[in-house]
Amino acid sequence: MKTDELINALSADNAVQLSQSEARNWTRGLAAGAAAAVLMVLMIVKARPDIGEAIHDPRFLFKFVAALALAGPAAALAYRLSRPQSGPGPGLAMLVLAPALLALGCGIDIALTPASGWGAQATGNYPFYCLVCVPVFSLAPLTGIFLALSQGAPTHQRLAGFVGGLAAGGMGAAAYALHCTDDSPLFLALWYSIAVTLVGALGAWLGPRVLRW
Amino acid sequence: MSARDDELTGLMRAANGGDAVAYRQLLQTLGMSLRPLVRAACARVGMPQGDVEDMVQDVLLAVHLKRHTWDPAQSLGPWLRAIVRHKVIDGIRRRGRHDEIPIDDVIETLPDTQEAPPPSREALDRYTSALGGRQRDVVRAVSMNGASIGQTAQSFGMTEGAVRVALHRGLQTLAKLYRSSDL
Repeated sequence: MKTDELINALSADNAVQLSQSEARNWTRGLAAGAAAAVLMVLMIVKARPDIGEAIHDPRFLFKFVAALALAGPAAALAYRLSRPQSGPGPGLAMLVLAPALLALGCGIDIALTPASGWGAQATGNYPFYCLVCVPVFSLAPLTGIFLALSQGAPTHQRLAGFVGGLAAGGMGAAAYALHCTDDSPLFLALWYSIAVTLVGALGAWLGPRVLRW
Repeated sequence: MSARDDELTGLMRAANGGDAVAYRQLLQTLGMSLRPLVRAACARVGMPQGDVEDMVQDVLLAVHLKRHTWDPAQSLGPWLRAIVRHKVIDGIRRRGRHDEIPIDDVIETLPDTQEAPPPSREALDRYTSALGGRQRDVVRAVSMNGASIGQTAQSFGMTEGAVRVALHRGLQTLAKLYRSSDL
């Protein structure tokens, strides 16, 4: 086939693909991933039984704030990186928002509780369960984000995979927080952070492998 | 370069609005300006010139399949150069496993130069043969015979929708074949 002949085929195909849009691909991927993560938590491990009282506890609410403070900027950055001409840009700095919030939360927690309780707060009741559950419940958002990324044209594939993984980890963490009864920011800073970082690492590993185009 | 960028941007905007003539003109202009660029990039890294047309077609396919990632509010130029840079570097790396590919200055010349297309029938023949039955028939009818969607539907007894789907899937498969080929 000559190049002109390929152009015949591409022109004829012009009507087909314009139904695609980056914004729609991402809305779909993120919404489906988030919904699946929440449903999986509610069906498999269930919401904590005292959730009606917990929503009045700022420490419980803080878990969602911290997780979404990571998921939001990370997803925005992944969205940006799905365009070929985009590098990370200033949005990369927004990734420190969640760690900064966590540090603040830990500072308050440490100030309000006696030193003898810090160890127990940080260890919590189910640290290893958290390490398994957060990555598992992140898989649905990770799939949605990677679908959106692969429909795009990312040229920084490892970084796109990494921030996509962080976004998925944040979403999985927020979903799992519906079940988790360990509410101390110290617990979050330790175990949730490790779990979310694992998902980010998985994304960075997957990026160059599955996002080629 | 910016006057040329404006021209291409206008063509792509019109194409997105359903202007088939503008889209064909965009692809032809792009094909012609890509060829010397890819040739220069190949020469730079000592790659055989026989791969040039292959890589030009690879870039055109990528532009086509990824054009929804361009934001119509912006100029087409930076988006286009990013696609070209990515595909050319990827193509060279895949064929030659070069670690350092010093072609940024070559890419920067896009798309200023023009040149007549070469007459030879290139590697896509091999690729279209690797397509599945219906996809191959449709892609070949539309490309080599220049048939319209309607004519193709009639001659294969398919609906127009089915032809569109087969064509689009066929092009996606072609892009994948380029990507996985160890030429």
